Amino acid sequence: MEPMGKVLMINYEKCTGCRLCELVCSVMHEGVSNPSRSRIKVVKWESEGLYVPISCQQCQDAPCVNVCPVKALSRDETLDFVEVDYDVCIGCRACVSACPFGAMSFDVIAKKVIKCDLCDGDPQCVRFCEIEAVEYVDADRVSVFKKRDAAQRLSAAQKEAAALQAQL
Amino acid sequence: MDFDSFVEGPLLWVVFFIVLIGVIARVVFFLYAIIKSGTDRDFRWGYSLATFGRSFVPFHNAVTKRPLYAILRYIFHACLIIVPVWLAGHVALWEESRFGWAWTALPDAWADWMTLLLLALAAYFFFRRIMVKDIRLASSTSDFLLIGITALPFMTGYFLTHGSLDSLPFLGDNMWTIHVLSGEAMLLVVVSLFCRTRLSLAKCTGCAACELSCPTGTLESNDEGKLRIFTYSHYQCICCGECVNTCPEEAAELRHEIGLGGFFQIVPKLEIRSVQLKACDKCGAPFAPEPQLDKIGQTLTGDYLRFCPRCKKLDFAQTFYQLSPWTKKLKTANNHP
Ligand code: SF4
Ligand code: SF4
Ligand code: SF4
Ligand code: SF4
Repeated sequence: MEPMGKVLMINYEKCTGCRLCELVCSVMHEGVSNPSRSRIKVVKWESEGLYVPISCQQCQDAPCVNVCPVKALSRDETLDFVEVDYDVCIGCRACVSACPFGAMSFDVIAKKVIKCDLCDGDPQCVRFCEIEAVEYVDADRVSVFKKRDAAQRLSAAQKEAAALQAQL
Repeated sequence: MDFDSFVEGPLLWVVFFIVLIGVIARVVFFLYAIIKSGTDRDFRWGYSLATFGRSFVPFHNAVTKRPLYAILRYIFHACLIIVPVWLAGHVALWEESRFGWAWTALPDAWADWMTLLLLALAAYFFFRRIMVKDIRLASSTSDFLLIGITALPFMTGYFLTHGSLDSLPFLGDNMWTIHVLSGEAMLLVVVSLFCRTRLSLAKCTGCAACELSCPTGTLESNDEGKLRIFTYSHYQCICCGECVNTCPEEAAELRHEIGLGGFFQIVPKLEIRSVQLKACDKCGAPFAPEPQLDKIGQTLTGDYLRFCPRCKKLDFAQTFYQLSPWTKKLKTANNHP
């Protein structure tokens, strides 16, 4: 039985694309309001009015954890998320290339990799998103996603990528 | 004046003079390079000094990867400096010289043992270089030459003090001259000896973690188009070994380099490695070094490795959108795509 922590649930239908979550995320972690240093990113299709906030999926058999050459990434058991140990991390960026969702980024200013750490259990993006497009809920409430495990999500993303590739 | 007395007299003084000038020049060049790089950009003085200092201690963290080898290397270098400076015979010569300097000498027995230890280690390093395939392939002639040049004065010095080869025809008569000459050669080599970082072409994946660890900003990488170029300057490098310690592929090495050519190359940076960057299969932007992706490909399989993080994010947002329960609702409600 995998641990059932709380997860970020994203209801993109509600998202208005205001990107407040990006701002508060970078303020929380870096002390400056710079969306490019945020852990959560809003992907926008302006013409369709479609906004999808994306952050780390805290995968179960996480690709980033598997490729890290110095084992700086591990699963935090209490909050059930994938954590970067910055004392160990050497900044090789293998995890950035390995993450299937582009959720691991490299902060060129602080020169370190950044990913969602659930703000130690009090996600700021959730706190500030008044319309509740991002919510912090028990994992079993996210029924659709919990039925599909990480591997399946991964293969869906891959298929999508392959399909896009075929269109080119 | 015959050859012997020339070697032991004027030539020796000329060599000492060159060494003195060389050392002063190097200190000046080093300070200049390091101050210049410090004013150019963010330079961590405290950290640099600490790492520099730590590299004189045998157990600093850059050697923990190969502790035994590091200890042997440390002993070797300690003997290399202590024996010639504190040898009773040498101290006596300084006292007789026009300077009349004198200092306490090392007991003869100690000097003997240290010399033997140094020679044994030199032999070990030499044969290790020949026997171990990885090291042999990465070695150049100058690596072997360097060990030979270092060992020769000690070998001849040992024979001299013990008179063990005095009965041989040519060697016995000229041992003294050979000793002094080889000592002079060694001093000259030492002045033009640099410790230089190399990134092994076979092992380095181009991840640039070493760049992040370098406290002086000596090792730099720049992504220019489809290439990641690593540059380096031996005057800025404090030989702290942080890069060696950091590299996950054991690709960064600190190596001796005899370089007269590099002596006056103070500020310009040498290009030491260039790595091909993979262009995203979708948007075409170069995003990660090819060798590193190849390495990741050994652990993970997935088409997504061919896409840059930005395109992966877009892909995922799209997938997410199609998989999510709201899409279904929307689709039935107003035939949204
Ligand atoms: S960073 Fe990427 S691979 Fe790692 S846990 Fe998060 S989503 Fe998964
Ligand atoms: S950047 Fe850090 S966390 Fe990521 S793979 Fe490299 S060492 Fe591991
Ligand atoms: S850390 Fe090692 S593998 Fe990475 S770029 Fe430096 S030498 Fe190459
Ligand atoms: S290049 Fe390597 S040895 Fe030289 S200063 Fe930088 S980290 Fe230290």
